[in-house]
Amino acid sequence: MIMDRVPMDVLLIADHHTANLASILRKEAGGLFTVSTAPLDQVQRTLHEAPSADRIALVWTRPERVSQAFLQVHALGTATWTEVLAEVDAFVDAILEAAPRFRSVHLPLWTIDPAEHHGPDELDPSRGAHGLLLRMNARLAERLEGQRNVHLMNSLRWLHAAGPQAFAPKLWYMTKTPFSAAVYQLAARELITHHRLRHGDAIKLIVLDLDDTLWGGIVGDDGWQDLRLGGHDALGESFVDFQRQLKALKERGVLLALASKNDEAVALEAIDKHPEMVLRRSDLVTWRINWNDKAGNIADMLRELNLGARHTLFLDDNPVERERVRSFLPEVQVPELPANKLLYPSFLRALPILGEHVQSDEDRARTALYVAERERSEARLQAGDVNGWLRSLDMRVVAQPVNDADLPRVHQLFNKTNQFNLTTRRPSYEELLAFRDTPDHALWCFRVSDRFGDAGLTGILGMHLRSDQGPVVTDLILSCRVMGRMVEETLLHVAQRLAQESGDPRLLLHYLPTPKNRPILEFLERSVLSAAGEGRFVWPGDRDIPAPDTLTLELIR
Amino acid sequence: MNNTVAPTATALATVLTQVLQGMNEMLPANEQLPTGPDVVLMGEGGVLDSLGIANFLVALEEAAEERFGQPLALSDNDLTDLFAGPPLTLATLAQHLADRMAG
Repeated sequence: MIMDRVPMDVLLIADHHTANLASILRKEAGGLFTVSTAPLDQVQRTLHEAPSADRIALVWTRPERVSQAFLQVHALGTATWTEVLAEVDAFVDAILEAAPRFRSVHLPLWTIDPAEHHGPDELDPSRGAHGLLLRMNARLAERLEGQRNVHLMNSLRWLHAAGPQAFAPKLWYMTKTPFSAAVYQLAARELITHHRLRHGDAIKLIVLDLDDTLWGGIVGDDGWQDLRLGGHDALGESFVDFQRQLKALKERGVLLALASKNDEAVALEAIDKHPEMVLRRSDLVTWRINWNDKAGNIADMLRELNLGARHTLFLDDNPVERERVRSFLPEVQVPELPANKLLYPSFLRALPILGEHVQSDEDRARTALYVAERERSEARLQAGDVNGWLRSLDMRVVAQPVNDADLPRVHQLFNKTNQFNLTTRRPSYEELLAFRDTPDHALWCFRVSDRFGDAGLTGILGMHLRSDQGPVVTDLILSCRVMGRMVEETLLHVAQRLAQESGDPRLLLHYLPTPKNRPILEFLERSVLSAAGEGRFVWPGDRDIPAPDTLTLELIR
Repeated sequence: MNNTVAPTATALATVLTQVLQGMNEMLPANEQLPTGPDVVLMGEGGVLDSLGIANFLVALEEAAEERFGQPLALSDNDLTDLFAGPPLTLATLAQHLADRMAG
């Protein structure tokens, strides 16, 4: 995923010295980012003159520099909100004007030292520095609401974590560096986390232990009736809160699974019967409740779910189990749970788990999709031959040009699909929009359903229909969720059909290899296309590419 | 402070090394600072640039106060005498600071 790519450049644009931040960001990012620095205190000019480039901008400004009116209030003088508002809006206008020329723009919330006392009216939004600052940040958030590539960063969290040493007054006077290294380290880590979460590296699966992790006590010893879960009990309440948060994550598309050393029947009885259980069997995508090695059990579940270890989080109260999983599956994220179980809910809330804020329908229904896949596999075992199995699925593929409502999911698929991806290009949302709206380009999406459920939007076809070389397939993407069910052949059929309709029935595909997209190469090699060397595959156009007869295809124009 | 020690040159050399190590924790691999006693910190051929010196002095003040239980004011002083002489190594700076704190 992200680590396979060319490093992304981050441009630091600030009204203060950012050399410390640049060093720390380079260290924390490893090979993920290169870091460059705009001229000191030339924020507006840099924003205005920045050329269009595939890079990230971190725009870090101080409220007293953005707004002269705020500076006066900060110095215990007076100013009107109208004056402050005009300066805040001018700043936001500059950000919005520049944003299309960056992949993304990140702005830490404006801060002043929370320790500063500004008198009894300090929270008055028209007279007090702290109150006015709240209002400025609220205006900033309001003006940036809905901007897809402009993101506010919660710098208040960094100040809280860094404590009284967050601001560095000595460094400010010596070098115009306002914050301590601790703040810059937290900011750097958050920017890296933002970047990873927004590019497909979000947690997809949480594997949970049971005893003293989801409930208090040992179910095999205590019996489900005597577990500490809910009730008028501090520990019981915290476990219920913990489960509620996990359930909320599940509703946002995160899969939940169990890995517990227990008697399966005893553990499942507790899950089914305990009246205070928030998580039930239907919330779990799979489980391994046995006495086998947990790391082996988790590896087995990842194979079953076709998920990568790096997208997996393991929560277990037992440090020995945590260490075992860390050593056997180093890519699995295994945080140190707090020793005090009352802290589990706040600990979970502080973990950066969720990815894109925009959740597609497919994300929300992910657990149901996996349950359907389990039933599908069982049907395959019963059906015997592959074509018979495919026909038994009653598959239906609906293909149509990508519309505005499809774009978030299409963008997501472009940015997270690895295995069946012709070129693995990772366009920004705006680049995708521009591609779709370019004359002679076609951008189609494919929805797949069968008698077990709806896999949703799982395929993408991008084409340049009238290139110098004839119709070129620029993008061929399929979620692994539906691979191996003749949807691949359906994409080729539709591509050739679109080429024919544009007046040239030929096709050209150029495969760009990555460490992870061999599956699409293997498909192309066994497809009806002819290999033409150097990753190129062609269809001569002397006849049509047939649609598979194991599914129903519907084209919507 | 209960666990403070006397600000001898040896103790200060240890603190200076720890400060450099702390700075290295924030620097990428190719920008790591050397930490031996003969490393020239400041002056001609010094490993610290002007920002590095500022970071170093601020961190040193905090570390020295914690270790020796007495403030060491460097960043708000005229440091001309510190930089006027020959290039300062970690060892010579430790001796200079020991003299300063004793005096």
